[in-house]
Amino acid sequence: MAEPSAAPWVPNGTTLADRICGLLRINRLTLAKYRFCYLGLVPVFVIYWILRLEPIGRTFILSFYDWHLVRPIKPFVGLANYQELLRDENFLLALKNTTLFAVFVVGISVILGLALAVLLAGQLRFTPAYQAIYFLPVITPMVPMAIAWKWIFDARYGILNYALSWFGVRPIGWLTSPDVAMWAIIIMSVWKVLGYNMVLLLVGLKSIPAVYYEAASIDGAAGWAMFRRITLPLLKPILLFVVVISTINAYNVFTQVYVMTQGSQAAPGAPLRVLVFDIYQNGFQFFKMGYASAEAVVLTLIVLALTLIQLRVIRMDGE
Amino acid sequence: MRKLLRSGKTGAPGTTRRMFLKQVGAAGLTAAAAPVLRPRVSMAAAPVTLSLWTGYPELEPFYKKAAEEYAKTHSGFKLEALSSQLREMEQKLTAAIPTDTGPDVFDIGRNISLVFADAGLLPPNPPKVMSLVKSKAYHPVVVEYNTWKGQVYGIPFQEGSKPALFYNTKMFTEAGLDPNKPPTTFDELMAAARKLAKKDAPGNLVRAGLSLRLSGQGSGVAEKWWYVLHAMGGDIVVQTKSGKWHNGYDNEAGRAALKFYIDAVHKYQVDDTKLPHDAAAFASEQAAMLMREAWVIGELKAKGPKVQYATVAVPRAKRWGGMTQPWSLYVTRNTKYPDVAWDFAMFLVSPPMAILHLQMTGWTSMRQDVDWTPILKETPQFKPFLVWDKGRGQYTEPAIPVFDELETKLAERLVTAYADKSLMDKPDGIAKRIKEMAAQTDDLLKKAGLYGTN
Repeated sequence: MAEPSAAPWVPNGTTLADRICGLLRINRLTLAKYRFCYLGLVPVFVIYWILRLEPIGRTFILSFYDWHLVRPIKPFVGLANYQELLRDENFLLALKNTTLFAVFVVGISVILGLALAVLLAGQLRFTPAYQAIYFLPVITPMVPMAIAWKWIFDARYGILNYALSWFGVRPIGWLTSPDVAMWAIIIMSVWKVLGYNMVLLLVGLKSIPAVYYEAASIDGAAGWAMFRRITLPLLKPILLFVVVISTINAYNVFTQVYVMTQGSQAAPGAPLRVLVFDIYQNGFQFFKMGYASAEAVVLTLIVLALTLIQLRVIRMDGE
Repeated sequence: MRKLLRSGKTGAPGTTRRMFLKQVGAAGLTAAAAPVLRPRVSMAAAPVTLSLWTGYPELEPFYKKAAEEYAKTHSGFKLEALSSQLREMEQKLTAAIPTDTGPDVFDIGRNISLVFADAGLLPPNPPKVMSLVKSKAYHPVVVEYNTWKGQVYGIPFQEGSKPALFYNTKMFTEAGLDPNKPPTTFDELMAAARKLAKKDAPGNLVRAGLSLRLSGQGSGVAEKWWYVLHAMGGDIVVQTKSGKWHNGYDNEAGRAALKFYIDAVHKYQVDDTKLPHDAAAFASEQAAMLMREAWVIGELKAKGPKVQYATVAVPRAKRWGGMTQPWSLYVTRNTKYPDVAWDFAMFLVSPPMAILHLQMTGWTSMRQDVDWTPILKETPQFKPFLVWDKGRGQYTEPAIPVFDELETKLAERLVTAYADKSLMDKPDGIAKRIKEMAAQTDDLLKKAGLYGTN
C-alpha cells in the first residue's frame, strides 16, 4: 500500500485514490480505513439484500399482480388486491383480532414486566434465579411450547382446568370455545414474552443513577411519587423500545395460533384468525401470492405507522 | 409425442401455427424413426432409479416394499421415496412442479393436482394408463373426479375420504341397543347417540354419544358436515346446466344439516367441544359413535385393541351416499423415464398391491375389481369401505380449483355456528347463518368467474 499522503487534501492527485481523497477531503490513511470497513460490510450487505431487502421489495411488487403460485399467467392488476382487501371479511376479521391480541399482549406484558422488574430491582434474595425462571420461556422454542400449552388448556385433561376445579370452576373449553380461545392465546403469549420485557426493563431500571433517588428522598419523596417522577421518566427510552418491539412482535403473531388451531381438538379458526395466519393461508394454502403480498404490505404499513406514532407520542411527552 | 406431453401445451390456446407444425413434424419424425431408434428392451433392463414423493409418511414403507416386488420382474429398478407431512409436501410440490425439479412420481390430493393440470404442468394419462382408468376397475364417479377439461390425470390410488359409521358394540349392548341393528337413518343415529351419551354427577358429558367434528381450522369440518348435508339432499356447491356453479346448501337441506349439529351439541348434548374427539376419543372409549375413514381401523388396532366395535355405512335421510375423494398417483413431465414411471404407478394400484397397501397402511384402494375376501375375513370392519351396497351412491368434490378455499372458509363459519347455543330451536337463526355462509361461497365462486344460477 502506498504511503499515505502527508497533506490532508491533495487537489491534483495523480492516482484514483488521490482523486477520491481529494473529492472526500480525506487523507489516504482514512481512505484505506473506509475501504476496509466498506469491503468488510459488503458480504453482510449482500446477504441482507438477498434475504431481507429483495424479498420485501418483491413483496411490494407482487402485491400489484394477480400472482398465483402455480398458474403461468400472472396479470398486473394495479391496486385491485388492495381494493379487495377492504371488502374481505376474513382480512378485516384478522385485522380486528390481531389488533385486539396486540393491545392486550403488549399492555399486559409491559405492565407485568415492569412490575416484575421493579420487584427484582430491589434487594430481593435469589434475584438471578427469579430472572432465569422468568426468562426461560423466551429461550424455549415456540412450537413445542404451543403444543405444551395446548395440553395445559385441554378441557378434560388440562392442568389449568384441574387447578380451577379446586375452586369449584366447571371445565372451560379454553381452546374450543370461540369466546375464550383468544384469551387462551393471549395468556400463552404473555407468558412467552414477559421475561424478555422484564429483563430489558430491569436493565433500564438499574441504569438509573442512585443519586436521583437519594436527592428525591432528601426532598421527602417516596414510593409511588418517586416511581412516577423519577423512574418512569428516566425509563422512557427503554420503555419505548419494549413497547415498539412488543407491538411489532404481537402484530406478527402466527406460530402459536397455527399450532393451536390444528386438529380436531384444536381452537376454532375464525376467532383466532390473525393477519399472518391469513397471509399464510392465502399464500401457501390457496397459492394467491399477489393477494397475500398485499396483505403483507398492509401489515408492514400498520406496524410502521404504529411504531412512528409511539415514537412521536413518547417524544412529545418527553419534550 | 413425449415432448408434446412434456410441454403441457397440447391444444393450449396459446399454441401458434408454427409451433404446432414444428411439434407435429417432430412427432412424425419420432414416430417414423421409433422402430429403428428405440431399443426394444424390457422396461427396466438398464438400471432405473425413480424418485417418489408422498404427503403421507405411513405410505413410505408400502412404497418401498412395492418397489422390491416390482424389482423382482424389472431388474435394475430402484425407488427413492421421500415423505413429509401433507402440507409440507403440498408446498414442496408447488415449488417443484412448475420448475420441473420434482420427482418422477408423486401422490397428492386433487386440490393440488387440479391446479397443476389447470396450469398445463401435468401430463395427462397416456393411452395405456387410460385403458386401465376407464376400465371397470374404477367407478365412473372416480374417473370423473380425475378429469379436468376433458383430460384424465393420474391413477386413482387410495380413498382419501370415504367415511363409515364406527360404533362401539359393547356400549350399544349396555345402552339397550342391538349392535346388530346399527342406525340406518340420521334420526335413528341421533336417537342412538342420546342413549349412548353419558354424563357424570355434576352433569358434565363424559362420553359422547356421537363424536362430531366441532372445532379446529381447515376444510375437514365442512367435509364432515357434508356427510349430513348430502344425506339431507344438499351439496356444498351445485353445477347449473350452463356449467356454472352456486352454493347448494342455502335450502332446507342446509338448514337441516346445521340443525342436526346444533341439536347434537346443545339440545340433546350428545357431544361437547370439551371432550376429546376423533379416533383418539373412540379408541379411549370416550365416544360411542364416530363417522370416519378406514384408517381409523389401523389406529384402533394400535391404540385401542380392546375396543369392541363394528362399522356400517353412513346413515341415510332423503338420500344415501358416501363421499369419495380419490388420492391419485401422478407422473411428472420432467421424468427421464415416463414409461417406467407410469408402469410402476400402474403396478402400485394392481390388485395384489392394493391388498398389500391396505394391510400395511390401513388406507383402502379405489379399485372395485379386487377380491377383498381375505381382508374381510380378518377384519370385517373394512366392509362398508370396500363393498358398496346397492342403492348407496357416491358423491365427490367438484372439479373447481377454488373449492378448497370455499370449503375451508365455510368450515370456519360452521365452527362458530356450532358453538352458538342461541341457535337452538331457532329456525330463523339457523336460516340466517346458512344464508351468510352461502353468500360467502357464492362470492368466492364469483371471484373465480364460476358463479351462475342458470
